Amino acid sequence: MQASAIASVPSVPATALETVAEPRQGEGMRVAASGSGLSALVWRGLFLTIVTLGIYRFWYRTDLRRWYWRSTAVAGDGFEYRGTPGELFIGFLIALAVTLPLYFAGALAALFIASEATTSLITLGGIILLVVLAQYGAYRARRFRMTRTVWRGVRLDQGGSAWRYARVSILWGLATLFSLGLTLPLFRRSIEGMKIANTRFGTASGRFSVPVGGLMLRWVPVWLVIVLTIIGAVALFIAAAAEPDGTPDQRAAAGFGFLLMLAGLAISCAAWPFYRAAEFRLFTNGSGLGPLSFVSDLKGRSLLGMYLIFGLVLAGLGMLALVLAAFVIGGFAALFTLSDGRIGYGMMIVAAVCYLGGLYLFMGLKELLLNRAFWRRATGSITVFGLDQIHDVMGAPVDGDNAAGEGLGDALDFGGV
Amino acid sequence: METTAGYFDGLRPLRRVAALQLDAEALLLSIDGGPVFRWNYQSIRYDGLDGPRLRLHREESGAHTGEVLELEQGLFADALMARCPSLSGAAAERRRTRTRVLGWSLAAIVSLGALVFYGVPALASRLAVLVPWTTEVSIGTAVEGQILREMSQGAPRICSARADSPGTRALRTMTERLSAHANLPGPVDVKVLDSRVENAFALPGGKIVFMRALIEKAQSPDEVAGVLAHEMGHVANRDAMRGLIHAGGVSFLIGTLLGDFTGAGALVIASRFLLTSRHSRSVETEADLFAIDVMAKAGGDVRALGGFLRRVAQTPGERQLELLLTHPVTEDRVAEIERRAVPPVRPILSQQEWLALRNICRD
Repeated sequence: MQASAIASVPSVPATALETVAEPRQGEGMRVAASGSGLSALVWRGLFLTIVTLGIYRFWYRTDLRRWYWRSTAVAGDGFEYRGTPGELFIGFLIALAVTLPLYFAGALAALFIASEATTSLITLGGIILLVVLAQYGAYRARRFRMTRTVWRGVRLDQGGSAWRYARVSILWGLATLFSLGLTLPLFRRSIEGMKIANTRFGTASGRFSVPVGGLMLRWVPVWLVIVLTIIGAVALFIAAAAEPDGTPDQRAAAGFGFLLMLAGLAISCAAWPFYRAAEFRLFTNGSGLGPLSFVSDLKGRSLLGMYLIFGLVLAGLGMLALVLAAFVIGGFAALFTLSDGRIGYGMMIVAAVCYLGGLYLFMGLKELLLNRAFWRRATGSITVFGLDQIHDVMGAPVDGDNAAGEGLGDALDFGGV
Repeated sequence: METTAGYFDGLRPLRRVAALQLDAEALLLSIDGGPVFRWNYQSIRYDGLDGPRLRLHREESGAHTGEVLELEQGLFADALMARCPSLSGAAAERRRTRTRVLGWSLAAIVSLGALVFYGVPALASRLAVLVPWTTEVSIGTAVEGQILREMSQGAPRICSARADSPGTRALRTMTERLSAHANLPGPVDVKVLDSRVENAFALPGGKIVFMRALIEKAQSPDEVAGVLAHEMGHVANRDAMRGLIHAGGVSFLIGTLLGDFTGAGALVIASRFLLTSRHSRSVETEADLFAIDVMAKAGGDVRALGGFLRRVAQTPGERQLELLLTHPVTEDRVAEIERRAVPPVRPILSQQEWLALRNICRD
């Protein structure tokens, strides 16, 4: 019932909103996004990553990329990922060299400066510095990936300034924060635009023009539901706190309000994939690369199905884990607790193994059920036009070796792409 | 032997057809029916992936030429692989590299573990005594505010804040009587925090905090004095400073050396927990011995501490867990205290002072 209610939200004909900026010439070629053998790679790579406390992740990540790149093909020709684990490792060391002194200085300042105001000021400054570095790192990381991506023997590249990217994304991020999320599409449009417009394929340059109107038209209904749900929940909470035991009428009203909030929450969750799909279509249709232009027909229900499968599998596994835990802990607790009631080493080890096992399962399922599924649905939804014009494109030498890898983006892995 | 393959020149994104032939020293290519090129077997590189197609590159004087050859797996590909020394060895070389990475990672983890469990504690004990007392005091002041706030809901209420209240005066009397026999590195600063948790702890720089519920639990001033003497033992042994250097060193090693890998945070907490319970036994015993010595010299009742600890440990409920986690009570500890006990000379506080101390949070 929820889904059908949502499906009617973007009832405006898609073609009216997502008009193609330029006429498509010639025959389009659909991007192929399929391949086999990822599961084995993921489970093995994650296991080794956990066993080595993360050191193996550079090799695992390189394997993943080689797989995704190889399994993505345009006009029958697969992409090639030429990055090496060693490059990622060097990038990590560089990031360590930059961030370690920062962490250390922060820890020392917190210890030796008695004034709380100064300490929280230093903490705030540190957080801001880390956010700026993370954005800078995210842009540089994409440049790293682009310069190591080859299609038909020609490299991709990314120009532009990472500092400018950091500045713009932080300003838009603040605007989005203060507008309670209203400007989220503009934020995403602005940073995606910087990435795509600065992308180069040989001598072909990227361009990005996405109309604001269509984007906001998709977002505002979703945003309204989310904001109203949050405001309603807060109001309900305040009312309940003010009058803990109200009249039967009041309680009935509160119950109805609560149901309304639940419905709002469900609608918000279900509407997000539809917004994401519309955004992906708009961004894709507004992107170009030299003679190439793109059209996506990604469906919101396809993304909704992806999230539902992932959520159901996680919930099922969580339930199973709880039942198992009840049996195991109930049965063996006596073995692990010491005579004076303290928790023994055995219990700690069991807890550590359970934690790492859960982490392993979660990360693996996330890769297979979310990342791969999104790649299949989104990348596979793109049709490329203008392939018959690419003989004008020339391979261009990539300036600078960029051995920095994905260092900062890796060490400060939040908000990275 | 002949076959055809996809060829990209690295200049234009166009697929061209290469007719391939195997020669004695080189692979012969004819692009789109044009003249024949030679790729020396030594110069051919392979991306190491086992897909349905082999992707071959060419190197000239150490640099990639940009050319790509895409070849279907099969008899011709096998024959080519056999002739190129760098191709047949590529997969094996990749495996060897990974085995080396795994092996040395595990070795690094073992030495990291040894450092965390043995190296850092040893270093912390040596370093703690080298930290000047004034520095320790300023660290303690910085830490104290945070910890007191964490320990209480809302703003922390310090019951011993008013210097002239009877409770505070009784506390001072007790502190001075014990300090006179304790040979401490500096003066201690004892506070009582209004809290329902039964616990007491020592922070760097001689800052000792009693929780109100612990004082109310005590049946005699000598029980409180025993705990105070025990905490003074931690101060004299610089245990808080040692713990701080230890914990900081461990989280620095594990947390930042391994990057922001998702599991690192939890591992840090778990290992810190393991380490505290592992080292706390000997640390607590040392502080007990100190307390026994000070209480005996001050003429107080040494046994009071043992009985008190046992009583707190036997109280059912969640609140005592806190004390047990930081101060594991074992029968060994209590037995050791009773073995070394000497007859008391006089109570640590007068009846009147003791009443004032018990009511310190009600002033």
